[in-house]
Amino acid sequence: MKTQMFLIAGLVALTALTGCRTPTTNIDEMNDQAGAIAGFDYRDINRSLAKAVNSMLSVGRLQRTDGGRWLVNVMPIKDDTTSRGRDTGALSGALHTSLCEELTNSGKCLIFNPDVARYAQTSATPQLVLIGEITSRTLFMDNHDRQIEYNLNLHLIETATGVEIWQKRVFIGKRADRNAIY
Amino acid sequence: MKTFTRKEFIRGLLVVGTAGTLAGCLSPLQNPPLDPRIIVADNIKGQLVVNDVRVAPGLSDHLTIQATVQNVTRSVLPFKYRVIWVDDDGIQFDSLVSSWQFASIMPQGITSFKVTSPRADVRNFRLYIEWGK
Repeated sequence: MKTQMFLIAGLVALTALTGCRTPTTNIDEMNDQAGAIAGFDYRDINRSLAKAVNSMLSVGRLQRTDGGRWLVNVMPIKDDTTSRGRDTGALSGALHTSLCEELTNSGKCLIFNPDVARYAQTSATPQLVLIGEITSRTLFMDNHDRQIEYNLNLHLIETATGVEIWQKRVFIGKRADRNAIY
Repeated sequence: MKTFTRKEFIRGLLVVGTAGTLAGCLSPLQNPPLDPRIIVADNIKGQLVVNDVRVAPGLSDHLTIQATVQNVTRSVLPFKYRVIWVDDDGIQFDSLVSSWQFASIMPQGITSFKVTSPRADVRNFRLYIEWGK
């Protein structure tokens, strides 16, 4: 009788635990209903870059009088966030590629690749250089919850003169539980 | 306890009925007839009014759209918006600038937001506004 009771209890516990498992689902980028996370996820990458690109294109700094396109050297985005230990290069790589993609699609720029340029037969010098970094800062609120402040800083500089023709700081702020992992 | 005569009761009923009918006739503040390119989702329609939408090249040859929206409720209203840019043939451009952007408006408040087209050769747009946070 006792053994049977244990078996039933075990079965019930197993069923309950199995029921608690989150089923695996694919993320629909356009209609992601999941709540925000404390880390800097793909939605934050998209949102922050959209703001930066909007700013860059709206002020008309990329317009050339001759109608030509700029050759831009987009430097790797420096990842100065505290999460860099776990996903080294992933965040800065995503930011870098997305930024290059938007610049190319704008029809105003061509992207200079320094790794391949050293083997090129004819040399080309980039006219602009885009420097960027992403930083994070964690502050503690009065109730000891965390406030995480991410800043994406971008600078577009004319290489011939050193004149900075555009700059933008995009802020993404989050408030999370004190035990949140990011 | 005061007792009502039949006449008083009918008069009261008439007053309440008229007031109810009149209140029912009052139309709540709604979105004015909108440009079909501006799509406000049903989940926010009665709470947010699009006051104004402007499209202009501004300082660059890229089109910039600016929309002014108003929160007609008495609580903070979170919403999200995105602009899809399309060419002459109605084919949309894939771009990060078409990602959902989040914002909120204070009770009875008004706010504006701007989005710039990813390319200079876009001709048209579709603006989507939904409830969301």
